Amino acid sequence: MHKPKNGFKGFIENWQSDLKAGFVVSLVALPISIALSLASGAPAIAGLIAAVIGGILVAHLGGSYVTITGPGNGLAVVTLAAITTLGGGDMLAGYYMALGAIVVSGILLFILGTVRLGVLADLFPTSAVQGMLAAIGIIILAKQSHVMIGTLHPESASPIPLLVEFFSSLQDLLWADTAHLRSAIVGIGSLLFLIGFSQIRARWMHAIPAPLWVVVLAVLTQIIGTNVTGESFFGPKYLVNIPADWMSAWRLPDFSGIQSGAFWGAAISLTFIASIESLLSIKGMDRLDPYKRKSNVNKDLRALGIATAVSGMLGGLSVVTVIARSSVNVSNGAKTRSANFFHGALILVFVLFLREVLTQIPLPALAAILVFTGYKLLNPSQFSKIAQIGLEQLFLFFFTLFATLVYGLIMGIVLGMAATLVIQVIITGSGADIVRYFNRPNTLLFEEEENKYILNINYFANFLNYPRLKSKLDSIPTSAEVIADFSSTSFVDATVMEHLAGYVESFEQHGGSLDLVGLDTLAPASSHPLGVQSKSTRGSDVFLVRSSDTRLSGKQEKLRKFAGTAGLEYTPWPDPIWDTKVNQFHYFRHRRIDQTMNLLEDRSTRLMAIEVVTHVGEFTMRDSQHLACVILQPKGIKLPKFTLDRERIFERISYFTGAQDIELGSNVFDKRFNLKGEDEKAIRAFFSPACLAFLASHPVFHMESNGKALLIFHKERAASVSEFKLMVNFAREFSDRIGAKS
Amino acid sequence: MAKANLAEVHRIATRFGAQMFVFHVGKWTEKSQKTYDSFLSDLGIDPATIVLKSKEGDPKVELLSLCSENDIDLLALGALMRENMFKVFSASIARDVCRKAKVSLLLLTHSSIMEEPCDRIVVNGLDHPKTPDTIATAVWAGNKLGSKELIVVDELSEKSIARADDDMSTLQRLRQSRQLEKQEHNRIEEVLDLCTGGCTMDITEQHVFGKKGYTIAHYAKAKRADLLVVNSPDTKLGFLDRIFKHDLEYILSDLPTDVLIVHTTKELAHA
Repeated sequence: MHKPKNGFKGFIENWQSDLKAGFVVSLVALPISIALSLASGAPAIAGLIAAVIGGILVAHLGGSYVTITGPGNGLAVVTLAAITTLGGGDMLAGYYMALGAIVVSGILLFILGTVRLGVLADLFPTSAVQGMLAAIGIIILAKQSHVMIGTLHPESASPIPLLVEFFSSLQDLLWADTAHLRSAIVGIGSLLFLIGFSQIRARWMHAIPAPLWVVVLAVLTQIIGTNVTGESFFGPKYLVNIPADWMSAWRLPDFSGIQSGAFWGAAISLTFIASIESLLSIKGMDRLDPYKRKSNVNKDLRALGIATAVSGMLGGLSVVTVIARSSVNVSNGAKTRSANFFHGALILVFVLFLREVLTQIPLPALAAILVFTGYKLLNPSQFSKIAQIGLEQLFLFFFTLFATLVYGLIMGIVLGMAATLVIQVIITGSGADIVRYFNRPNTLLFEEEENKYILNINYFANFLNYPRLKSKLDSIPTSAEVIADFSSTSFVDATVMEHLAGYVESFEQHGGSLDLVGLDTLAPASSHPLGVQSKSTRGSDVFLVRSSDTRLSGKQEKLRKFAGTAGLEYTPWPDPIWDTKVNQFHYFRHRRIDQTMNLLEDRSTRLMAIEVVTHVGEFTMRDSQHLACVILQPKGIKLPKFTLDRERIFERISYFTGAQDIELGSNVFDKRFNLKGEDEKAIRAFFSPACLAFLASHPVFHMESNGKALLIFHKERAASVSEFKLMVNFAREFSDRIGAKS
Repeated sequence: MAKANLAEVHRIATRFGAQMFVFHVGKWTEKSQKTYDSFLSDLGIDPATIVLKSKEGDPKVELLSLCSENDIDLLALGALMRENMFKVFSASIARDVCRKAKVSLLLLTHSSIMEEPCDRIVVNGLDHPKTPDTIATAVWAGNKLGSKELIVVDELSEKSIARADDDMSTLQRLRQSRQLEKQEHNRIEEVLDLCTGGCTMDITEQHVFGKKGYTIAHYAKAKRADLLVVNSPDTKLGFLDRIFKHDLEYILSDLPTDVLIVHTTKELAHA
C-alpha cells in the first residue's frame, strides 16, 4: 500500500481527504469540547481553545499520524479537582490558578518527551489502568448526572456522595420551576437519544455524529421555544455562556501559587493523566492506522507539551490525544496530520462566526453527552472480559476503581500498583525476584540469521521491568521473524502478556512474525491466553505442570490446528511413558527428562513430533533445556546405528563410543555433514543417492539412529509452530525417501 | 561438591599439562586429610601428582598470597550459579581475587566426577587491548580441551546507533547496526588472524546489542555454552578506567556456565 508522504508534499497529496475528515471531526469535537469545559468547571471557551491550539500545533510538531488532539475526559476530572482546590471555593480564581498549573504541566510533558519517557504508560499494570479509567468515567457520570436533570450545583464534591445525592436531585424535580423541568426533559431526552442512536436504522441520521444531533436538536428546541414563548426557553442559567468579549477578556494565568504544594500537586496530576491518556490513545491509534505507521510517541509528547503550555497561556485546557475523536477521524478517511490541523482550524472558524449559536446550547444536553461518555469509560461489559483473564485481575480492577474514587487519581493508581505487586508476590511465593529484576537486565536479543531474531527472557517478566522488554521489541523491524523464548522465565504477568499480544498482532500486520515459545510449561492462573503465567505456587518450589485439564497456550492451540490439517493426532500433555521412549536415544543420555509435551503423532507412518524438557547438572544448579524433535520408526527398514549432524552436537556422545567418521563420496554431502557410526557397510547401504540428494538440498537437521528409531531435530531449543511444521514435513519426506529405496 | 571440583580440576590440569596445587585455607585437621585421601583414592588420582598447601587466615588474603608464593597461573574455584542474599561467598572471593590477583581465574559451576565434554566456548570480542590475549587463551584452552566450537561474542552499545522511535528511525537503526557490525567484523577478523593459528574449532562471530557483561553472560546461557572466557577487569592495569568492573559484576552474580577470567598483564596487552 502506498503510504502517504509526510510534510508539505503529503499535504498537497491528501488535503482533500484530510479536510473532509477534519470537518467531520470538528463537528464532533465542538460539542464535546464545550461539554468538557463544563465538566472541568472552566468557562466554555477553555475546551474550544484547547481543541484549536491542539489541532493547529500538534499537527505541525507531533510524531503520530491520524490522531486528534484536544481536551480530554480524564483531564476534565483532574482540572475540576485543581480548580476547586486551588480556588478554595472561588471557581474563577481557581480557574486562573489552574491555568498556571496547566502551563507548568505542559512544560513537564515536554520534558517527559525529551527524556523519552514515552514508555510511561506501559509501566502501569493493565488492570490498574483500566480501573482508573473506569473510575474517571464514574466521576464524570456522578457530577454530570445532576446537571443533566437540571441541578447545576449539587452539594457534594466527591463522587460517591454525589451518586447518592442523585436521588435527592431527582426529588427536587417535584417542585422545580418550568425552566428546570424543561432542562431535565432535554437532558434525559438527550441521554435516551444517545443510548438509542446506534439502534436507529435510517442511514441519513448517521451522516451526522450523535453528539452533534443532540446539540442541534437542543439548540433548535431553544430557538423555536424562545420564539413561541417570547422569552428564553431554558433561561440563561441553563445555557452555555461565551461572552461576546471573550477575546478581550483574556488575562495571564495566575502563577501566584507556584510555591505551594497544591499547585505542584495539580501540575503533576495534570501531567500524569495527560501522558497516560495520550499515550494509550496513540498506541490504540497505531493499531487503527490504515497505513500501519508507527508513531513517535516521544515526539508527540513534546508536541502535546508545547500545545498544552500555549493553550494554558491563552486560557485553554490541557491538550491530549483523544481516542474517540481520532477513530472518527480514521473512519472518515484521514490520511495525514493535516486532518488534525483542519479540525482545529474549523473549530476556530465556528467559534469566531457561530458564537451566537453556541450560546444557545442548553447545558443539560451537554451533560447528557458527558454522562454517556462516562458510562462508556466505565464500560461494564469489560468486567467479564477482565474476569476471564483472571479473577485476581478483576479484583485489581475494582480495587483500583474504588481506591481512585476514594483517594483520587494519583493515589488510586499507586495503590493499584501496590496491590498488583502484593498479588504477584502471593502467586510466586516470593518477592525476591520482583525486587531483583526490577532494575537489572533480564533480556537478550540477537540476530540468529539474517532477519531472524531470538529474544530470550530470563527469570521474571512483570509490568515493572517491561520497559526493557519493550525497548528490545521496538528495536526489531516488524517485518522480521522473532522467536521470544520464555523457557528460562518463571513468571510472566498479565500486563506483559497483554502487551505481547499487541506486538504479535503488529508483527503479523507488517509481514513478520512473533512467536512466543517456552510458555507452555508455565502454569497459567486462568484459562485466558493473557492470564498470568507462573512456574511457582505459594509455598512450594518451582514445579512443572502435567495435567490434562490445563488449558492450551496460544502455541498449543496453533499446534492443535496444524495437527488437524496435517492428519496428525495431537496430545498436549502425553503420558509419562514417553519419557522412556525419548530416553532411548544417546542424545538424552546425559540429560534428565523433566517432561514431555506437545506430541504430534502419525500412527500410519510411525512418526512422532514431541517437545522435551530436560535438565543437566548434578547439583542444585538445574539448567533446563527445551528441545523439539521428531522420532521416526520406519517400518520394514533395517536402521543402522549412526549420528548425522553439522554443528557436531552429537560428538559429545561419540566422544565416549569412539565411532568412526564416515565419508560417503558425495562432495556436497561430506562437506556439509558429519556422519559417524560403527557399521560402515550398513550405513553406506542406508544412505541411498536419493536420500543424499534430499539431505543436501534441505536445511541441516540433526539425526541420530539407535538401531530402532530415528531422532531428528533442528535447533537445540524450544521450537515455534512454523519450526514444528518444517520439522514434520522434513521427517515425512525423509521417511518417503528411505522407504522408496527398499 | 569438593570431590567433583577435584576431579574436574585434575582433568583440566592433565589436559593443560600443568602442575596441580590444592590450597586449603583454614585448619588442616586429621579429618580433612582423611576426606582428602578418600576423595583422591575414589577418583583414582595419585596424591604425589598434587601439591597440597594449607594456611590459616582470611580466605581472600591467604588465597592471594598462596598464588603469588607458588607462581600460580590459573586459580580454579567452585562457584554457585546464582548469587542471593546468603550465597555471595564464592563470587565475592572471585571478585576480590580477580581484581587483585595476577592470575587467571576459573569459576566452576558444573564440576562433575565423570568427564563431560567442553564443546562450545563463548569468548568476548570487545574492542579492548586485552581482547587478543583473551581470544588466544580461549583458542589454546579450546584446543587442549578438545572443544568443537568457538563463538566470539561482540557486545555493542545501543547508544551508538539510532533509537527505534518510529518507522524511519527503525530503518535508520537497522542501517547503522549493519554498518557497525561490518566494521566490527573487520576488526575481529584482524584479531582472529593474529591468534587463531592451529585452531581446530569452528569459529563464528555474533554481534549482540546490549549492556556489556550482562549480554555475553545471557548469550552464553541461551546458547548453552560450556565455557565462557572473558577479559579480566581493568583495575590493576591502570588504564581504561574501571569500565569492565561493573560488567564483570553481572557475570559473577549470575554465572551462566563455567567462566574463565583471563588475566592479561599490561605488557602482554601492548604486545
